[in-house]
Amino acid sequence: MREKDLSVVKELMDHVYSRENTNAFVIVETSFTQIAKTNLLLLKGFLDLNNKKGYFVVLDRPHQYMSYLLNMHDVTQENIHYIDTVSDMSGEEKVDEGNVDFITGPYHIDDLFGIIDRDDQNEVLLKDKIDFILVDNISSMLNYNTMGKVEEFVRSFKRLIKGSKNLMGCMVIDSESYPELNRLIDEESDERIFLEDFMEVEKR
Amino acid sequence: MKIKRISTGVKGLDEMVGGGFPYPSVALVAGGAGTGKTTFAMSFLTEGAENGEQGLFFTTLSEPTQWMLRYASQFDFINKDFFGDEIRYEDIGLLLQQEGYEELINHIDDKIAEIMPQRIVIDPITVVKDFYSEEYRTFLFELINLLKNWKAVTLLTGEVAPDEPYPSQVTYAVDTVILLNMIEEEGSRRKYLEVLKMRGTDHTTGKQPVSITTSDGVVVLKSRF
Repeated sequence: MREKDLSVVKELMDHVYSRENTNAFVIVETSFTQIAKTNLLLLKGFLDLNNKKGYFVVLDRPHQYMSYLLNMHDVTQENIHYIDTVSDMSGEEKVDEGNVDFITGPYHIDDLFGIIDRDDQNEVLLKDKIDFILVDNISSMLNYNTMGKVEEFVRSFKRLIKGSKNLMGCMVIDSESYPELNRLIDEESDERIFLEDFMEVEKR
Repeated sequence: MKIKRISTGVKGLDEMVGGGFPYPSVALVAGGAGTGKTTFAMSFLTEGAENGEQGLFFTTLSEPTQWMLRYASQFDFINKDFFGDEIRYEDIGLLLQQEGYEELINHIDDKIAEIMPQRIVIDPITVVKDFYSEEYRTFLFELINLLKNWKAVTLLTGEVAPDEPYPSQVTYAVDTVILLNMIEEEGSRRKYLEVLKMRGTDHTTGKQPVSITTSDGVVVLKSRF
């Protein structure tokens, strides 16, 4: 990973963990061209730089793409568990290396709460033992769900975060695609971070 | 669902194609020698670099970085400081000569994963046919499928012979085909650009006159017809 990107991750993580209360629901906003990179930077920050454990909820591309990227960027995957909502409908071969649950399409996004809450998890993944849940571009949910369903999901996610101990909830958003998400995000989140603000530091 | 687009970087072209290239997608820019394919590609990458988008330029010709810098230095619109950082230059010519197509595809895949570009160029793609003649079609199919899975816009350039309208083996698989032509008219050679296809886009059809200048690169002029 380039030095420039690493310094963005470090700044971003310093900012996120400078909060008094880590039990927070944070939105990271970025351009639609930077979604995959933003997810990678956040996972690098959580897993590698801060040694945190958590879930990555995949809404756009099968989880193996991120798994491949993390390998390429030397990020260990011992402490990540994927919830993959895409592979079932993508027609790609489902690859399960023991750290993934598949949901039958982004239409059934609510199923992820059942997965996170279920009591047959291994010790690392018990809800009260994980440190973060990162949700992929929430805007992409609107390709498959009504605004009402997405609102319901965001509110349930917030309740999950607020009802847990020291759990950081993080959602990535590309608000250019669906401006109607802005009101919801402003109402429900504790903070909205613009990734480009951190990138400005390194811009020529 | 509205298709997201990024600017082509070529003056006058975005207006012809509903705002730019669909994101993500794979485009072919084809034309004969001297029609402006590489200049088009540089405009595309420079536009991205100015907007914080990472560029990755694969050359299949083993041209050294210095050659590219020297080429770029003649154009005022290219910021040379972008090279090496915002625009990464990767030579795949040697690999093309020495390895099979699967190794080449794996190498391209690894470089994309490492650099995470939003804009990719492979210049020119058609030279691959000389090395993988029997497997060329399979190579193209696998490469284009791979590129479509990355969150990026990829621009392939294609050299065509004077009697060949476009490289048909590439056009069937890509989302966009743009032709650059040089036509002899009234004793001089005039340049034209034509959008042959762009999936999901109501684009302008027909040949549009273009100029290539050192200040702006490729510019689509207002039609004279």
